[in-house]
Amino acid sequence: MEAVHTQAEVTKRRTLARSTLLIELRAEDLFKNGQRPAPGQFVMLGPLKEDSTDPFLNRPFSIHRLSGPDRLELLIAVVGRGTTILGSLMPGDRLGLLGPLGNGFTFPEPSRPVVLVAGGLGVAPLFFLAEELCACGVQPRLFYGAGSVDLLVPTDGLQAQGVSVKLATDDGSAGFAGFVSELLAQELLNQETPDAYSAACGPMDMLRAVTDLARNRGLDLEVSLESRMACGLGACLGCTVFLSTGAGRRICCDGPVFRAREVFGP
Amino acid sequence: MSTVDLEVSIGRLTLKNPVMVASGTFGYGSEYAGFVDVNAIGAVVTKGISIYPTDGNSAPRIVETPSGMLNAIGLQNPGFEVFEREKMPFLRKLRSKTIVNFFGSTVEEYAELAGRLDTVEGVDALEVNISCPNIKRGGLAFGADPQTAASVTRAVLRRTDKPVIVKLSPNVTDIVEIARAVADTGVDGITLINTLRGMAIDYRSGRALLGNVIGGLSGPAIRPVAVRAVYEVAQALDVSIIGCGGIVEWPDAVEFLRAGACALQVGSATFRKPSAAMEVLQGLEVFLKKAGHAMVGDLVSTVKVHGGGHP
Repeated sequence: MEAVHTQAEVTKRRTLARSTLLIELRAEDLFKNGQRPAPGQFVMLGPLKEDSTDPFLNRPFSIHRLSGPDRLELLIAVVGRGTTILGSLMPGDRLGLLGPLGNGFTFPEPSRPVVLVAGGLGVAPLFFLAEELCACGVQPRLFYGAGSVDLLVPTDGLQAQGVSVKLATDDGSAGFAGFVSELLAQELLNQETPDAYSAACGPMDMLRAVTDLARNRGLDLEVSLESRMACGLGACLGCTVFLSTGAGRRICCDGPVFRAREVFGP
Repeated sequence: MSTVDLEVSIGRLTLKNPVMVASGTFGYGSEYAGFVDVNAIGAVVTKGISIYPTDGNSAPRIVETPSGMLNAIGLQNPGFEVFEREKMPFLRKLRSKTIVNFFGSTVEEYAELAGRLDTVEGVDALEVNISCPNIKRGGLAFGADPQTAASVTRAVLRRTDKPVIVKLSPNVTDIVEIARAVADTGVDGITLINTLRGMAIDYRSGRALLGNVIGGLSGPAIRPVAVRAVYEVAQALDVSIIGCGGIVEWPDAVEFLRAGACALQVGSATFRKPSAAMEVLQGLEVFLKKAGHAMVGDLVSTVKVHGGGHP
């Protein structure tokens, strides 16, 4: 759909994990004429303060879920000044929203098995994709890793919809002890999934490891990349990533979703 | 309220109003077309182009700083041919004027590109970038020395009949000296200022926050530096000045006009709010009407300075 610049209203705010908030926004302009954002798209939020130029820039966030006919949810890790301001928003507060932006995941045909791999806050857009797949009768498998159990966002809602979830934590406090890429390697070892579609979002090192696995197993993999952004529209060229061929691509509008092998090499 | 004439002239270039969007902050115009009325503003200044495509710098390329941002994009652009073929059709249809910002790595490259742009229909003026802090050759290397700045400008003027504006860097000891050398070549105007060289470090990891280590600072943080540069040049020289640097809202625009600018560029504020330039224009028009001014020029160089400490 065409992106819009609008004012959104905070309708819900909840802590989901340590320093991790869920913010629900009402933004009816994103749902005009039967249109709706697609999984993998993102929004820019801001200005963070109407009466101050500090912090100066808006912030990009993946769409985590659609929670109503005019509502979307975002996951926000409170890690710096901007996210602290966003984390202090309360229901009824309004702020600028630009979106939906970016290309989104290639939605797989319903006949294909689907494997989703999330690292940390990279789980945000994969929730949205998983829910849309479930609505089409596909039951994806989600491999989800974080530093420790208190950083994991609850997945029971996804499981109730039919998603099979396997967890990993670096410290072993929940699920597999180790990286989610190691868990995935173990799980894929005994399985042939030649026609599976897979999507991953998380830190670059994780995406590289998952891409190596996908290459060996012949998995069709898409990765969602993140970057600092100023405009979100392809104008500032602040988020350019260089593909393995050396070609520059704007994460905001040529992505954020790319073929894994385009980014990390065939 | 009376009507106000917003038209301004920068040498041979006439704009329907004094508000432009600054190079590098508005792409080639089409990026923002779905969100704002691009036709409302006086001119679009394009992202800087070179003869051949330029990849730009490695990531990270931007970092937020207090009331501003550092960028080290490195003048990424698709080159003249792609620009003419893919970007000009949109710009040509605009009712705003199109000013093409461009750069080279030698004087001859500046001249050659000026010659090519001279033949492109729909290009209303050229803005010569001799002030980018983010590339090793070209850019600031030409803008830091009066003789070099003048020779680049003369080379450009010889190759085009279109109006020529030169964008200067604040990263110099005496900006008046550079501005004088450029103005003496007979250019139509001078844009003041490009970004200030800056740097930021993550105190925990010790890492430089930009891939290029050093970048250019923009945003409200640099506005006082820009206003000072406009004031100094306006006091010393008779040349049209386009004020640029940290304009976020219309009072900032009035400040630049009072300092001596006759036109304005809104830059990184557009990243915060796509309609920033359009809102600056609306606010400026209301201010001029309320103050009873008939034209933008009524405000230019109207700064009052404190007199000698006497009451």
